[in-house]
Amino acid sequence: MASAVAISSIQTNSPARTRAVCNPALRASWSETEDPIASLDRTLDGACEEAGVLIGRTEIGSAEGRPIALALSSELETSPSLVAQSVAEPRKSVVRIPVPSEQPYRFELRQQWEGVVTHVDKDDNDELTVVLRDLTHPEQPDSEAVVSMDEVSPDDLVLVQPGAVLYWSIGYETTTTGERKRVSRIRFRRLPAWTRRDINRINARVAELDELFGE
Amino acid sequence: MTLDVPPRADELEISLFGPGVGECVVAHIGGGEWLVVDSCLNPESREPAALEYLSRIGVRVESDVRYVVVSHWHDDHTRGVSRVLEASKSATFVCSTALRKNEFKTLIAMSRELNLKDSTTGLDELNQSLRCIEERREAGRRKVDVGPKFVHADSVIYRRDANETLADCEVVALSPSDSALTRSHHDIGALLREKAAKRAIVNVTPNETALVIGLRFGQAVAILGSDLEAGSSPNDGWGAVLTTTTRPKQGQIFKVPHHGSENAHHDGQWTTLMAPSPLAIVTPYASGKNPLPSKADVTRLKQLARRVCVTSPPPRKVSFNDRMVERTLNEVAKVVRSRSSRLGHVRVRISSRKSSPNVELFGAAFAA
Ligand SMILES: [Zn+2]
Repeated sequence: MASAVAISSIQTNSPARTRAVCNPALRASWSETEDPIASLDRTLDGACEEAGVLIGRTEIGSAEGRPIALALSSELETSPSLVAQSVAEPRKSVVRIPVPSEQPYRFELRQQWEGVVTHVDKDDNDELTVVLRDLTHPEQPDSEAVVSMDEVSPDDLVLVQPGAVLYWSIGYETTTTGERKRVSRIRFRRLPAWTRRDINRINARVAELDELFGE
Repeated sequence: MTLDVPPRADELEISLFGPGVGECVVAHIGGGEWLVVDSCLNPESREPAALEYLSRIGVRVESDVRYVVVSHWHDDHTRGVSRVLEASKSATFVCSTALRKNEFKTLIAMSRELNLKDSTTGLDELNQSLRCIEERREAGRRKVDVGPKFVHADSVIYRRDANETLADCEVVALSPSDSALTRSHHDIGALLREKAAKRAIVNVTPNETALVIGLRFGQAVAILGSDLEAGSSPNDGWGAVLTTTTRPKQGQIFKVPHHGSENAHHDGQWTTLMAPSPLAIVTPYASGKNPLPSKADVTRLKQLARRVCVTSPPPRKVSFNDRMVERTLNEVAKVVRSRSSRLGHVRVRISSRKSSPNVELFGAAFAA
């Protein structure tokens, strides 16, 4: 067992998880008439088995014997709302592997927004519309920008859809050789996969709504 | 007339609010009874436009707002609606039958887990509104009083008989049609199956199941078009609205659907539903590369309506104190502009006896 970290649940973006969800055999279990959550339950079970993850226990491991970790991108460091969210939600346990610094330069942040994608135009102009909340000057009203898909890093392209959250930073980057340049960086937030607990809470809420809506 | 003066007991009032992105209708249906359809915020105060206005003209929101209606769950129609509902202690919450389906319950439960930002989907406002209803029900109040009341084409929301002083009144739903409902929950189900397992955000366009409302107070008639689009067959969209049996005749005030967009235009709206040359009132959707209404939309509406009133002008460009930031932003983005302009208010009052509507424009509102 590579990791002895005690956590009660795990979300992982590891390749094993992704493979599992995309596994055609598992996908075939989604039938047209079936309750989406019921089939989500089964998919999650399958995915977890395949990844070697034990949910609800204090030990975890992967098939390769390496710890499974969720590496969230660096925008977490500067987002007050996300920090608040993670504090408010202790259930989102995340194992972080220390990453050697890949920043041989200095970044002077001049402006940062938290953005939400409101529209994606993939067919026509390949651009997205984003509502921007000013994190640097929180008193400013929201603004909106239309940005070409070219501005999104290739890793993040799959995340571009209405509702997706991004962080947009503008600043000066100074390299180790002293070169200074203006930089605009857009990074998308990655959502952890559903856990068993999430699914249970969703099911519980659906049951409450059944009660509320009645017949 | 000043803003603060309430309508007479025998007047139908339709007050349309829009801050650039957002829409709210406040309606007086006679005898001091009110309903609120959708909600937006005043960008300056961050308060729901409906509550600010109603308290300003002296309406007792806790007792006199009879219905709070969510026509569909897009965020430009739901901002602040849970606060409106909380303040409207005697109101029944009304929404589209589309929300009753299992698929939608799953969607709403998932949206809560996703912690989406409030500017994205209106589902969080809906979640909070449902919480408010749950509390009222837990406090022993009846479902028939607090809701949710699910309505679709030809559902009667409210009916009041005439008496010595007041004309009769009827508030009916003219959509969604059976066909639109069937397709919508099939679509949501398919999206959930495709995306939910990956915790991707499930984005559903609710326009096809949006709630169109017909209001008649005596001889005064208004049609509130929400964001209902034209539809791909005569069985849904506006084609289906024209086949409803409860629709009031000879509409004089038309809240133009989907912010004046071409995709919500149907000839029958103007030839069958409304009286000749009605008054058209519009909220913009000042967002994206092609904000609504476009110049062509306004031209089209002006040919069909006697007068076209819009709640707010196109959005402004934004400027930044930091020149470097502004320069970089303008290089990277194709368009940068303010998300909200000033709140505008189009107020229409019309006697329940036959007369022509009286239009007043407040804030950013203008006649196109
Ligand atoms: Zn809208």
